[in-house]
Amino acid sequence: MEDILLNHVGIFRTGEGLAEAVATLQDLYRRAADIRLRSSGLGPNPELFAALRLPGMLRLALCIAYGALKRTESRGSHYREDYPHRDDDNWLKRTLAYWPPGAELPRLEYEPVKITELPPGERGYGEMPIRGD
Amino acid sequence: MARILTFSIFRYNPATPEIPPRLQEFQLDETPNMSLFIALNRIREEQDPSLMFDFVCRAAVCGSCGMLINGRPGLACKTLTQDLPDRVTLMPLPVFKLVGDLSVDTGVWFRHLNENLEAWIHTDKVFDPKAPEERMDNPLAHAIYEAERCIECGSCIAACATANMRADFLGAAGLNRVARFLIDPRDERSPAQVFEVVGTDEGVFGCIGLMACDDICPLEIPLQQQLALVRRKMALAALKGK
Repeated sequence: MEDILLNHVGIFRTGEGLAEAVATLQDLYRRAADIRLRSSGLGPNPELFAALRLPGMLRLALCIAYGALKRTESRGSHYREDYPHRDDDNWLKRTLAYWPPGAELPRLEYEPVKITELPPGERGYGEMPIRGD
Repeated sequence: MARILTFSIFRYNPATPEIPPRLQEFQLDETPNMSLFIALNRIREEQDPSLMFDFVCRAAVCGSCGMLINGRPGLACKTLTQDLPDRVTLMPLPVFKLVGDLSVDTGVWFRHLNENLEAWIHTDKVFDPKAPEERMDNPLAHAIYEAERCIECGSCIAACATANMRADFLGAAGLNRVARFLIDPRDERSPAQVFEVVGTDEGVFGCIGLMACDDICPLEIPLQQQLALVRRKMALAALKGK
């Protein structure tokens, strides 16, 4: 999980890499359902903690990777090499990820962003024309 | 030319009291800039997943990885293996309740300490959220901050001969805490009131002056000076007849 997130869900992202990350994380999530301990698990056992936490960590990793795969634009720290521009026409909205019981992927919903005092504008770093201006 | 390090680690799980406490050896190839944090995590990942030890921040901020490193209390995250010999013995900090292996519960001890000392600002002034903050000159702010840097790792308590003998001794961390409130003008407790709490053998007069706390504090807080300050103020309070 660590390697997948580091290599494909890090600073520079592509649709291809993110799709691979989602597929591999899904496989890990299926395998995590059969997780076993090597030690006895008795007492405040760190292996037991890790085993109990792992499925939740994988669900969170999938929310991040899947949400990033679907977001076909670049915005803030989400940078897609295949979609280098910010796209306010289609993506000025917030991703909400839900995990229905038994699901293999999160359900993504979107809610509008409330613009308060300042409308989103040029950020002034790098060349990054914005779609929707 | 990587060294092979041998770690001799204290093992005991309170959930299996039939297995007596023992030392277990692990070997590990040393890598550049390896800290005990890295070494212990590698041992747990590669050799024994049941090994208990605490880490959170890995940067000497959280204070959870205090342990005895070749007999000396210190933070495992801040200790590089390159500064250690080929053989390293790791034991849990004494004084505190053992959770298992190298993991101890410092939280209960420090909570008790802070409740005992009422380690918060005592004032009759009513807080006005709209009023500008009272000004404090920089040297005083720095002096308070110096004492506030304590991360409650417990190293000074584990190193303290008095704390090892006397369960209710405040220790350097406690006296440092007292010093912090003694110099804070916002705290309206008089030295005489502080004397009621710390002017005893469990408090400032229990220290027998070995100053191991000052030697080993991982944050290098000047504990000797802090102790001297509290003693001076307490001696004065006693002379003035409280």
